[in-house]
Amino acid sequence: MNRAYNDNREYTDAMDGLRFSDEAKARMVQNLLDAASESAPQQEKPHGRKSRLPRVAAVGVAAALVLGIGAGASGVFKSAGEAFSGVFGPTADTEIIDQIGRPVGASDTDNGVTITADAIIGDKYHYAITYSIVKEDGTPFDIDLSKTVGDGVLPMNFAEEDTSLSGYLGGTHGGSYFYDADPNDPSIQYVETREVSDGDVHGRTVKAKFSDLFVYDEDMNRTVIAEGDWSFKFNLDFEDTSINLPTGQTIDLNGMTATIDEITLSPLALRVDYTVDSEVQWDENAQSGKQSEHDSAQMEKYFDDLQIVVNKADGTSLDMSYAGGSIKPQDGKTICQKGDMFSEVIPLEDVVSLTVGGVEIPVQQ
Amino acid sequence: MIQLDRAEAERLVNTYSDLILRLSYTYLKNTQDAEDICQTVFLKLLTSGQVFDNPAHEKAWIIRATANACKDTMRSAFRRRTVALEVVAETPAPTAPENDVLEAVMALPENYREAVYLYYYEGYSVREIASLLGRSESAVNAHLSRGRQKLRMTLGGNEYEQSV
Repeated sequence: MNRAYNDNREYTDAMDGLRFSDEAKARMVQNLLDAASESAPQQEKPHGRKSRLPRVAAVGVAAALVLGIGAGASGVFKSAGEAFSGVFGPTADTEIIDQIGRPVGASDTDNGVTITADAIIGDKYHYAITYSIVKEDGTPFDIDLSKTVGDGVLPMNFAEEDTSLSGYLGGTHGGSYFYDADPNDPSIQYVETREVSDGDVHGRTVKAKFSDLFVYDEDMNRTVIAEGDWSFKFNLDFEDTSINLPTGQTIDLNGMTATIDEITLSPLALRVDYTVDSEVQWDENAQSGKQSEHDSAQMEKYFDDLQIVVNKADGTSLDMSYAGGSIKPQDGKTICQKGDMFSEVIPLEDVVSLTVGGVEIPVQQ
Repeated sequence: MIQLDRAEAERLVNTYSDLILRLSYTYLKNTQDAEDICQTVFLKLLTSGQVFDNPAHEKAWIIRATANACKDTMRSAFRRRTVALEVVAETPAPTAPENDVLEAVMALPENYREAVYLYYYEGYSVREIASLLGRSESAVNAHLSRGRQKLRMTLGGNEYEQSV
């Protein structure tokens, strides 16, 4: 009964219908001609250097402390002779220290640049891998570290990257970003976060492959700062870093009572399991391929309207209310699970509480 | 002074103004600022001195510049709140069609909306979208995947257990 989104005709037809009138286009042409005849060359705005470390970069430093990466912390700076090059080479072992997986010797060097897998952190359904990128000669990359794209994330990317799990047939999805954990050392950090849909990924082999590191400007023009191909393998080993928070709280949810059954919080993700004291009623007469207004309202009532906020020690908060999950009627009640990955690794000591449905739940370390 | 003749101005407007409108709508959820964003993007193009290898290269530049212009608009703390009535009468913004699927897409988070638009409407591949937006392919895949998940829930039929 689910509508297959591959049938995107309605979306494309709707977008086709969104267009300027001929009148508007004629006006734009004239405005453009008028502006062209009057305008002077555009002045570049000076880029001010920020006076303090952007928030996520600060988090990145804290995350680096949690993960123990950065200069001197994990012996990152190996000589070129110790690095693997060319094909993936043998699979590097991963030690687990304080729940963090630390690949041993998982790196490759090409054209004077070494990429190393430094640390792996994860919980039951998610993991993040941090890599460091450094020039062999120890000099910093020629980039302006003050030019971030927001939240301390550097405007960088690989022309190609692939970090597949050998033999894993389940689904994964996630994101990645670059940041500078320590402006005083010449390395740049690259973080990948992944959510796994099913099955255990512990012990599987990560085959990491990267090509050509570039930075991009505000016009998205690329400049390659490290040309090369890097390939290496390592074991994906880590311990579950999630903590369970106090549960049993009751919440008023649109006149119903919801009880929090379980809250799983890790530096990577949050998940809230709760039970509502009435059973969601789906529209049995709903037409195929489209959620009825009734069902949409039921979804809002039992799921969408549950607000979930992560409150951090720096006074900021992260609204997770739009997160996904599942909802299931069962024996007169409705079993719900709602949660999502964070867009960045958040050390748990930076989280002071969660607010779920208006109820504040402290995070005790 | 920018060198521009009517033929070139018409080419730019006829080729790209609807694209800029749709992309602006995707980011801003309204069409009010679309004409201004068109003006901004076209002027930026004309003053950039950019030379394009081919039409696809030019279109990619337009998309990136539009995305940046929309994000600047969203960041601005001084968005115009009131307009003179005569201005409203002369320049009515295009009306977004009423459509359940479009409404569902527009309810998605911004990153998902932009990926859905570029993938399903403009027909770009994941790799091309990653290059356009300066993201990793895995990030684009995640945005498309999660966007599809949420749309399946919003647009799908009944299930004993529904996933969002």
